[in-house]
Amino acid sequence: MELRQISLREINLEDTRFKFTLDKSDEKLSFSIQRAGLVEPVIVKSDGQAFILVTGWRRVEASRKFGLKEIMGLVTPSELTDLTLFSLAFFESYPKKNFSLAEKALIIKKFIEFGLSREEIIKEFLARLELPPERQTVDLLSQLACLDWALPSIHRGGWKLSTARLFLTFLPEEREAIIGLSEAFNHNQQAELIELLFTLKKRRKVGLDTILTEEELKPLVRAARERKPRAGLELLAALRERAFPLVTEINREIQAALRQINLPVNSRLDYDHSLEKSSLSISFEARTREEMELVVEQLKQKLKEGELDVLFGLLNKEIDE
Amino acid sequence: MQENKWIKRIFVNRQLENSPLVERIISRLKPTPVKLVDRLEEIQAELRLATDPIAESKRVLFLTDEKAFIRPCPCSPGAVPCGYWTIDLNLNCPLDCSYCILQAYFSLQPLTIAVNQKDLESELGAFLASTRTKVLRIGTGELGDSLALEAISGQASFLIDLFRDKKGVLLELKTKTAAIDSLLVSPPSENVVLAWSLNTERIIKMEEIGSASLGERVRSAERAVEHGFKVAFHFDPIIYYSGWEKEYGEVCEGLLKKIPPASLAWVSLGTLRFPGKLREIARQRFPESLIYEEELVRSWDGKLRYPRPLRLRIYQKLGEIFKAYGCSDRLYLCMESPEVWMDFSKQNKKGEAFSFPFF
Ligand code: SF4
Repeated sequence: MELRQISLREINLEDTRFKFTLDKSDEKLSFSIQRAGLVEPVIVKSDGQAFILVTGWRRVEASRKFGLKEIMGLVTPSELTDLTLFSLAFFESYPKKNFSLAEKALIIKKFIEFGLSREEIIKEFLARLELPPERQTVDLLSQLACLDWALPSIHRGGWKLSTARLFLTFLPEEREAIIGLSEAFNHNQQAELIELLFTLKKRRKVGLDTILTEEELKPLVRAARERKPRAGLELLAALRERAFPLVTEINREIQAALRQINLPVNSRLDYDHSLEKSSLSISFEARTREEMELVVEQLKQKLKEGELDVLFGLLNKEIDE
Repeated sequence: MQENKWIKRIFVNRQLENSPLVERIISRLKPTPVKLVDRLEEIQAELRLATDPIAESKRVLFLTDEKAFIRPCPCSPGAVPCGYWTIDLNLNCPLDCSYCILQAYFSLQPLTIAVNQKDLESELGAFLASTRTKVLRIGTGELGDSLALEAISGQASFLIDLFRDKKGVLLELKTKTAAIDSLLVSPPSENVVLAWSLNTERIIKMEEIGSASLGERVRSAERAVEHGFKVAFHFDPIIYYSGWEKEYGEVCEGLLKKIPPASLAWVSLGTLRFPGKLREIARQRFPESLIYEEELVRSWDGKLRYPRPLRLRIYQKLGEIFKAYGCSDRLYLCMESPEVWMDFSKQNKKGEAFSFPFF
């Protein structure tokens, strides 16, 4: 490889054949280029008229931002195939970077495009990318990588394979709706959102649109799309209620009952919200024996008057259906 | 030569090439292609390339040896245990139930038959000598159907003979097939229980691919009873769906009308439960199945289950039917919390919360 100064204008950034990283240049890189220039040369391939970037997308982006005209680049020998160059790009990043699922998808898709067999990908790369070394993984991620419009959101959302798998079961227009909503949620919430939408859609045998345009959900969906504060959380809560109707209903009744009970000061009542346990617990704080006796006395009184019966009844509720 | 519904290829552990059982199995499966391998990984490398490696693993037979066969049944931590032991002579299952835990439990495990079954004799002897339990229940249906490969391996017949003279041990062979012909050739054994997992016809059709119909299973159980065997039934997993109450009720009633209580060893009830990983796999493999989309909450052992009030409702409803037929003392719950057991027992077993086993 030949090390030389390369004019940034000579690099054809339209040709993204070797690009698989989705991170934008960040503060740290900008600061380092601003202070010290570009320390590590990028790798380029010459196509006779311009250079095609093999590695260094973020470095070039940051260098442009700081008005550099030229940077150091390693020009690859012309006899190297695109597969060899892509492998080079991959192995340059591999030890340094934790790839997101979206990036892994791009890596697999590009290896296939450059002629690597699925068998070799399964054998050599999947386990090293912390993916199940099976054909299914290759098929799923190749499919995901084709959704280039969605990849930046999937990258930012830190999706796992299981979330991507569910996402791909949605229709194309439904996928767009989900990506449109996703920015209102953090990583785990995105996974939960997709899980809930999948469950409701399948359980009710309706399209996603029917769920998202439900009268009560509509304003929440709109607010989430507009990324209003707390909108994501409220939409998730509303979807949970629909996915867990029995648990929601009993919890609602318990909450209503709790509002009617006046517990002694400094005491607190708890129960298992999943309803797996039918017991309740009451805890309280007391600084002296007298304080403790008082709370115990008050609790005894409440028990005697049957004030807690309704709660025990709800926690042991028998259902008809 | 047997009719071969399942196996597409046979792999043989090279070291066991000349084992008489290997030769017998291969000849029963003729003309299925056979390949000698040195390591399981060689088969797994092929399975990895399949579009559905789990389905493929059920069509590939591996004849090999196993180091040990007897293990305590892996009950859920925190559940009320039933003291069951398992004998794993086979690994994996040719049937393909959408809810089968083996999908998540095994990774690229071909259908495996341990051909060193003779080693079980000494292991069993040592095990029985060391155990202090008064009555021991032991079975083969944990890591695969006990009878699905019987025509090929003859292992159930081998086990029945092995257990015939063992006192204080009950051997259970659990199946979703009707493949009992070979077991009815020799006399029944007092300590052998033939068991069927039962479900409603709707669930069998949709979720238990490759299994016998409800009618075929019940008919086989009747034949086993006529022959002199004790029988057991497992309503597991009970699936909640609109119409469950009527349809499960009909299955229980239909069964109890045909099987005399005296021949009924035990009946287990267990609602659907599974670790999250299984749902991920099964949703992909069974896109038509709706069982994973019901209201399921994470319960005490991390598994997903129906909410406790619904589970209890299901157990009580079915419990009432068994009570009406005077069989409630045969019932137990599988992988349930002490709390659910207690509530269930209050109504169905008159305060005898954890009496088990029933002999
Ligand atoms: S019969 Fe049992 S072991 Fe076989 S697939 Fe069904 S659940 Fe799994």
